[in-house]
Amino acid sequence: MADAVATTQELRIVGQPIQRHDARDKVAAAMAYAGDFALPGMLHAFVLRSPYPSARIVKLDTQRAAAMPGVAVVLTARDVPKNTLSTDVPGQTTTVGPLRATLHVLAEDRVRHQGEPVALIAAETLEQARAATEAVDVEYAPLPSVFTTADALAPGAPAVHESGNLLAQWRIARGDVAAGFARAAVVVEGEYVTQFVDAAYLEPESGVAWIDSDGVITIRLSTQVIEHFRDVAEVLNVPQNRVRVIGTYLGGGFGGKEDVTVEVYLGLLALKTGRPVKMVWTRQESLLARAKRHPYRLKYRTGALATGEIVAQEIDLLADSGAYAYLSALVLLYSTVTAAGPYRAPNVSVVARVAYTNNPPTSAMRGFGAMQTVFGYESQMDRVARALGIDPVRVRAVNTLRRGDSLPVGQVMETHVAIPELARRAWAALGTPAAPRAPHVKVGRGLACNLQPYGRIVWLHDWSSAWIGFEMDGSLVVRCGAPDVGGGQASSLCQIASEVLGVPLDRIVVHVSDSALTPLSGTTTASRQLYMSGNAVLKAARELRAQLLTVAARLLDTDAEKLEMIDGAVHAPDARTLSLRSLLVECARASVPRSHLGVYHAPAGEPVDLNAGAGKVFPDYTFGAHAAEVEVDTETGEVRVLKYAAAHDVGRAINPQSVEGQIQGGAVQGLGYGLMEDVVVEDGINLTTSFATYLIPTAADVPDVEAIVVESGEGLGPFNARGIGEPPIGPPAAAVANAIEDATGARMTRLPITAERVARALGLVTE
Amino acid sequence: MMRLPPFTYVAPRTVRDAVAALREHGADAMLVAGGTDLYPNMKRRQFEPKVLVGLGGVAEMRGVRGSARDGFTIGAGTTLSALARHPDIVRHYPGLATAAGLVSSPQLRNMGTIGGNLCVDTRCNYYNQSFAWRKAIGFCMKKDGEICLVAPGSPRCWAVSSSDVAPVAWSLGAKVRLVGPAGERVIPAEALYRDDGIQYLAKQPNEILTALLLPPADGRRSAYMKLRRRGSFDFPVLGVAVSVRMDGETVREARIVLGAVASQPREATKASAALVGRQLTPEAIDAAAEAAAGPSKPLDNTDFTHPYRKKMTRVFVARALRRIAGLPVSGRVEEELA
Ligand SMILES: Cc1cc2nc3c(=O)[nH]c(=O)nc-3n(C[C@H](O)[C@H](O)[C@H](O)COP(=O)(O)OP(=O)(O)OC[C@H]3O[C@@H](n4cnc5c(N)ncnc54)[C@H](O)[C@@H]3O)c2cc1C
Ligand code: SF4
Repeated sequence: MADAVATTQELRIVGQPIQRHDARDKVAAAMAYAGDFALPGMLHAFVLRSPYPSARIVKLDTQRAAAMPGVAVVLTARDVPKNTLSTDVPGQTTTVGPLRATLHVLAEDRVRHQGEPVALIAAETLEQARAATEAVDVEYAPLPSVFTTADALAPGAPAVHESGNLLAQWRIARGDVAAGFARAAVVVEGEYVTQFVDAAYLEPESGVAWIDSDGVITIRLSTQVIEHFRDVAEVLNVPQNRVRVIGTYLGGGFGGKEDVTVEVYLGLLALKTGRPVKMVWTRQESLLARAKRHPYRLKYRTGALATGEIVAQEIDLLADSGAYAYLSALVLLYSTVTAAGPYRAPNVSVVARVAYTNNPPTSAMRGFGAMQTVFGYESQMDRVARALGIDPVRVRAVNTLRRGDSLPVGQVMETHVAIPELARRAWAALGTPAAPRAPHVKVGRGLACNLQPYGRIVWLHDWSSAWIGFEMDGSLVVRCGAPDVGGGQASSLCQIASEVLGVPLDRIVVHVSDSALTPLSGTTTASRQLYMSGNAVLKAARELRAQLLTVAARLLDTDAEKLEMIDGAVHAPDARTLSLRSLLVECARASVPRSHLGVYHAPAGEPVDLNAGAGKVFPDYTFGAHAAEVEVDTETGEVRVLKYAAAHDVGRAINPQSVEGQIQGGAVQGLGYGLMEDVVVEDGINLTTSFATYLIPTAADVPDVEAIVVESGEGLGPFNARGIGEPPIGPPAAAVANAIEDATGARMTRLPITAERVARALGLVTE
Repeated sequence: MMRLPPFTYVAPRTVRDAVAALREHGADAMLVAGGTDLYPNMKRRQFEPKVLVGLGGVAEMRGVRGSARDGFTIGAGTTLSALARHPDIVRHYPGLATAAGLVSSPQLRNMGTIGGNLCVDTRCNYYNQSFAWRKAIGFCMKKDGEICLVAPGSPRCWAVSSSDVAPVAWSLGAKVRLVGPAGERVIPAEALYRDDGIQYLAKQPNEILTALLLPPADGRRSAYMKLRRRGSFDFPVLGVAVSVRMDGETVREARIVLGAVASQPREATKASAALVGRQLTPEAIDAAAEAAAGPSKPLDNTDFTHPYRKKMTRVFVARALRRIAGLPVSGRVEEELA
């Protein structure tokens, strides 16, 4: 494997539950978020958005708006140097094969979803910008529209795009499915439906842009991808080195800040006006316009032997891309690869399609297509176990992939799949079952396991870089382009550098997320940042250490391999020490650099041909098992999660506190997905554009989540860590649905599992 | 962030000055107490008053006075938190304390007042949206538009009364004191409401609700049950208030009032009648619950569908009555404490 770096030595800093440097700032409200920045003479910007899900723009007159008090500029499609934005090549990627997703920065002659940007206004105050937005004279003529994937794919459906409504499809076929079903002792069929959900981060999309004294268009914003500076440059038609993106610490990303948000608008307005400009989306705007998680219709037919061994899987997936492609084709690929779960599937067929509609667009969100499938395959697994009378932990152990087995897509599992152990531990953590509080309250338990890729698709040739350097006083600087989305990305990099170079954490400063001043590291998405940039920092630190120890070895007259760097000093085996300061002075004298740039390249591969048996798609996977105990009120259908345990094999926990945070946060977000979150879209109109109607869990709605951290030492990341950003959001919906069936016998197949849906499943409401 | 439109704020210290301020500014003025309903609505431009008459400084409108024997007077400016915790209210009017303690979230209850809650705006999925959203969909008659988007042919608005306290006040037989330019009047709580989503209050805009008057406790038992999606924050999808007075083991008087089922609270008279003269046995309770009709109109303009809410009406009426009867109850509704 390329240049992954492993270690067997004893660790001092890595593995410690260290309080992150950003944690205190956040709870003390001392952290400056993107919306907190202001510059003298700054304009305020606002986007005019389409009220209609499908319409032709017959008139767009900005004259009156432009003449309003305080208005600096009103831009429409005509004013954008290059009005086309590519949306499927984020980060370090240079090619993605044949798929090329594009959209217009500002609508030209047609809008395809409610909330599509039509014009851009900057004014002296936000109120003036808003008033001008309302003064733009737009006339729309409604066009035919389509709001369900089934309708979209029906013959004669109105075309959302000229290329047709089928945006992408993937197919896998392996073994002999019919023969598998013929051998099966039990065949379970299920159809599952999942909904649109929103990232619902605390911090909405926001940023400030200005043209710096060097003429570089500088944009400071909340983003998961500083490499969008290239997209801004392309739209503005300026050289890429004329745009700089500075990322702030995020108040949440969850994939919602993976595609461009405010940066292109801010770049355009700064360029057109020459003035600083700020844009902060309102919550309503964010809920209205931001891309959502794909709703899926998942059909499963599963055949198993009496032992529980699955011998046939027939899977059909259909996803809603909304009005634009964004990352839909890749999301669908994740679903295709994970459709059968972390289980053996000797005979399997997967057909996956994603269609355009006039609904809100969908794109990346934590889990990225590998999440919806968990609800499918884990519901099926549970039904198989129930039909055969097999314990839920055992049925999973029977089917778990072993090292050397391959996924339906043909990728060989080169790693330990800890599912049986994780399932056992999560299940055991539930302890003794709660007694029902009343005769009509039923208590039940459910288990759900998952696999989630971490790192990017191998043919994206992912890489990351980091720079590490000592100041003359022995303090250390780490520079790395990685945006910190709140998962402790920056702080973990410090821990790794501290471990290798023996510099105490309070002597390290990390600069992240600046496309001009930090080496590029790619996106903080795909659970890749610890894996990729952690490895880049580790590499930089190791190579820098080797560089310095050559000098130290000469001074101490011993072999470099025998030296250790601990607590700001070099230690020889015979207890002699050399202070870092003296070593650095000596390095300067000897012309040995005291800094180093490390570049880590992930294992790469070529695009796979799914029809030809395919092969490796992802570098590696993270596995998990969640167990839930729920009570169901059989008079009202209300479900309450009483206990929750979530186990993941994280390879190695660099900072156990951050790992637990990811597991707990992911589980809670997954419970929201399972039980209440729902972007309600009626004929293309989003009815849930505030937190009064888009419901996310409150503290009163979720139990304590017991995080079980398992360290197999099998990951590809630094010190054998695996990615843990996305994996914990996968299992909760299925775990809860399985627990509800255990409690009541009712099988929930549609998300979110609301009280009313349960009541209907229980036969309480029949109308 | 959505911002408040500009307005002038007037801060009277007495009810008299407040009445005078309302008279002076006429239709341009509105009252504000805790602002937890009005300010968000103003940000969405559902109301655009030029002048706000703030009641926060009117000391005579705060506090709880009285006794179980004579009844209590609750100043309209009393916060929901204070009411939910008040020992006399908790003891003698548990339904009221429960309802106050189940409104929205702790922070909002610290600001929100009982008066504001009794006068809280009606709600509808097509109305509780930002200005831009409503404009996009063409507005509705409740604000800025001509038609009802839920029931397009309808001459009226069906927005839903969503106060937690209103049905309780009604069921207790409480009264409200209104003070306006023409002086003071006291009317039964139920007379405060009208079955119209827009003109949902029967009082004049220039009348101030200064107090809620509770009748003597006098063997009265009460309970409130609330259906909502989450354990906090959410407006009621259904509220059930019951109040019963006993003659020994026999029900002498019963009032069951439903919230969030129409543009005003609705008394389930058949259900109440089914209880009078009977003992609070499980059978009697079931019969009463059965008689409690659900939401009157099959309009799905809030949360959950009509058939489900109808079904839940039965369950929640039964539970509220069981609570009063001292029978085991087990909703999760009462779990969030004030
Ligand atoms: C997130 C959220 C959740 C909520 N959940 C609930 C809920 O679950 N249940 C619920 O019942 N409410 C809920 N509310 C609404 C509101 O918070 C409460 O109803 C609160 O009690 C209103 O009181 P206030 O003092 O803040 O009223 P204000 O906002 O000040 O006023 C509300 C209305 O009453 C009028 N008014 C106020 N005081 C008087 C008076 N003395 N005389 C005459 N008119 C007056 C005002 O002019 C205004 O029209 C919620 C609000 C929010 C923002
Ligand atoms: S019921 Fe009709 S008129 Fe009333 S708020 Fe709703 S859509 Fe508007």
